[in-house]
Parts: sequence; C-alpha cells; structure tokens
Amino acid sequence: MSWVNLENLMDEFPADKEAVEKLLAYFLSMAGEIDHPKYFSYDRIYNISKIQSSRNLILILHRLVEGGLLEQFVRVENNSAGIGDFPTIDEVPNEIYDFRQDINITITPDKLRLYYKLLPRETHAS
Amino acid sequence: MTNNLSDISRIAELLRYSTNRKVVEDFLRSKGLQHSASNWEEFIAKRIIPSVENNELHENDFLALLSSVEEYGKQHIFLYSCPPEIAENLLSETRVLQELRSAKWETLIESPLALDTPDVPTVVDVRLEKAAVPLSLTIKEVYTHRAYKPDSSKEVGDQLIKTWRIIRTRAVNIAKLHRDGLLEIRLASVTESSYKEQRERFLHQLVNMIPIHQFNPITFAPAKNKLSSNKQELSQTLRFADTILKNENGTTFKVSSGSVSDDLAADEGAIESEGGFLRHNGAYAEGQNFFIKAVPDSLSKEILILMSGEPHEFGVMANCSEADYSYVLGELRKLNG
Repeated sequence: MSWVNLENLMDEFPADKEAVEKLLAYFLSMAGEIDHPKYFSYDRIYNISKIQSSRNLILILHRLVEGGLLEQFVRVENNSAGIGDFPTIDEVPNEIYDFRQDINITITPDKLRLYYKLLPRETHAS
Repeated sequence: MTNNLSDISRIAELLRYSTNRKVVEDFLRSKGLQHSASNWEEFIAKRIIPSVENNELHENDFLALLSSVEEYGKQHIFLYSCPPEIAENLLSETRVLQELRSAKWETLIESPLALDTPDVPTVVDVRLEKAAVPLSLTIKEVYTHRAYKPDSSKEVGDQLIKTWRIIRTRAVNIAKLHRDGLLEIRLASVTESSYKEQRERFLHQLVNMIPIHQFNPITFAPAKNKLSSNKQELSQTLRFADTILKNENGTTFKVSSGSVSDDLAADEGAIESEGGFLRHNGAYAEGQNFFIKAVPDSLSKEILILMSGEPHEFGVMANCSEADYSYVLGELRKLNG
C-alpha cells in the first residue's frame, strides 16, 4: 500500500471515517510543510483523532506505518528524556549510555516508549 | 508456603500497613472498646491484641476490617470501559456463577480466603454486588511481592560478588466491573515493579470472568491537558507537583515543584513557561502529578495522584477509605470528561 493511497482507510474504518479523515489531513498537511521529522506518541495521536476504540486506532496506525506515512520506533527514556531510539523492541539492548548524565543505565520496561515518526514529504517521495 | 492469616499480631501489622490508625480506632470505638494510644506499637500492644486475648473481639473481626481497608489506596489504577449492554451481560448472575464453577472459585463468593503470602497469586474473594439487578463484580487477588535489597558485596580475585536480600511482602490486586461499563484494575503499589507485567498477568488470570478484549482503555489525555491549561483555576481544589509536556519535535519540558509542600500554580514563571511551550509544535501534556486537596465531608485528607505512567493509569499514593477513593475516582473522571 502506497502512502498516497491511505485515503482507502476511510472505507476500511467506516465508523471512524471522519476521525481518520481528520488524522490523515493532519499528517499529510504537516508532511508537506516540515523539513524535520515530527514525533507522535499514542496519546498525542489520540488527542488529534479522538478515535475512541483503541483497537481501531492501533490498526489505523499499523496501516499508516505499513503505507510508509509513519515510522514506528521504540525510544528509551530516562527521567522523561530520550536517550536512544531503536527500530524494534528486539533491538533494544539491556544497558544503555545516558549521555545526559554520563552513566550507563539498565533498561527496564518502564523506560520504553513507542513513538511514530512523520517524515517530510520529500523523504516519502524518494 | 500458603499460610492462612489467623495470628492477630500479623493481622495488626497488615492493618498498620494498609490503613491509618484512625480507621482502626473508629472500629474499636464502634465496638465500645478502648482505642486511645500514642503510636502504632502501643496501639497494637495495648488495644488490638488484648481485645482478642480478652475475647472482646475475634481475629475474624479484624480480618473483615483488613479485607475492607486493604482494597483502597496505595494503588496504581488502570481504567477501561465497555458498552453498558456488554457489562450487564458480563454481570449476569447465571454467567458469573458458571464462570466461577469453571475456575473452581465457586466457594469464594460465600467464603473468601484469608491468605498471607501465598506461593502463587491466588484469587481470594469474589463479590457480586446486587440491588434489583447486579451492580458490580469485584475480584480480589493476593500475591507475594518479591523486592530485592542490597545486602553485601565482596571482592574475590577479579570478581565483585554482590548479594541481595529477598524481601517478601503481601500485595492485593482488585478488579471491579461496574454496570455502566467501567472497569477498574487496581494494583497494589509495590516498589521496583513493572505494573504493566503485573496487570497483564492479573488480566490473563481473569480473562474468562472479565474478557479484556471487550474493553477499551480510558485515556487520561483530556484530564492531563486541562491540568496544564487551567492550572490557576484548578488550584482551588488541586496542588501541582510535576508537569511533563512533550511536543511533536520530540522535545520534553518538565517542571517540578521545589518540595512536596510547594505548588507549581503559585509560580508565575513556571505557569508562563508552560503556557509558552504549549503554544508551539503540537505540544501536549504527557504527565501530571498533583494533590487533590481535602474537602470537608468528602475527602478526609490531601491525596497525591500520579498521572505520569501509562495513558489510562493513575496512582493513588496514600492509604485511604472507600469514601475517599470513590471521591477521587469521581473527580478524576469529571476532569477527564
């Protein structure tokens, strides 16, 4: 699925058609304006879309990742600040260097956050 | 080592951990017994234990008290919802009894277990609260939490050998499904623990009674945003400790009060900075820690709320009564509306 055909999502999720339209418009418009990636947590995307069903929102995000509009990654956070990004959970090491404090820290599940990255439109087209 | 709770000294210690002394004093007063003491040690030695030794009360009276107070406060709570018609179906007495029989928990509805620190997490109590129709279903689990405390270390050649002491504590988890579709998963607050793993394990144990796939998490995103944008208005009833904001550039903005008794809403610089950050780059509130101020006849004391974990999680970081907890839950749901 190409990211430009993501509008099919509205047919796939008829109950959330307006919310999907709003979310897509938000991402597509932003992708055309930015020159640096933007980062979205699940909470932020919920805030934008107001899609009530978590199952549907997760499926929609999966489609957006599959279609190439968003990239999903895992960020290691210590004291709420990011210290390392990894494409998948399997690639997260047991220990990581926290450059903000000059210490090695053990990575525990509470330090892992799932994020979605929106790239500038030129990046998508290439 | 499945040990039943029957020793009054142990029950008294658990009461001390689970609630404040006034609750137990009120309990003794209601029984017409002496209740004054200057501290917990004296209270246990001179009031609680003698009341059982003198046959004025039975261990079971204190067990019943423990059972009621240990279900509220010092918990991480995860909220979910389902349509009311699904909840009504799940609460059907016929279905509940059938599932209880399948799980071999049918005796619990009449005779709850009184376990101390069981080897494996164990469901000890199931309650179907009813009026003309079933109103709610409560399931209670007791498990033994293991924490590790550094004990000693020694160097042997090129090796440093450290040992940790295992600290076992009794912990209580609660699931409560309401007729309107609200589901509370209340996990005991225990240090050095991943509540996500604990929650998934507990939900898996209950999956036939409460099929979680029929529920959606209730995100506190609306409440967190109001707590950021309306701090000064809300400061009549709340006191703010920490705010964590994020934006779409991935930047984090965190502001914390100087001490446990301070209030961010009283710091003009903090308020202005927070407002400035929120005006740009799709910024939003990711975490809020705050106190709900005491309210005469509604909330007996100020209670710290942690709202900086998962999107549908909040922590109540104090022992509290059922009435206090109900008030807190109601206020948070209103704030999230």
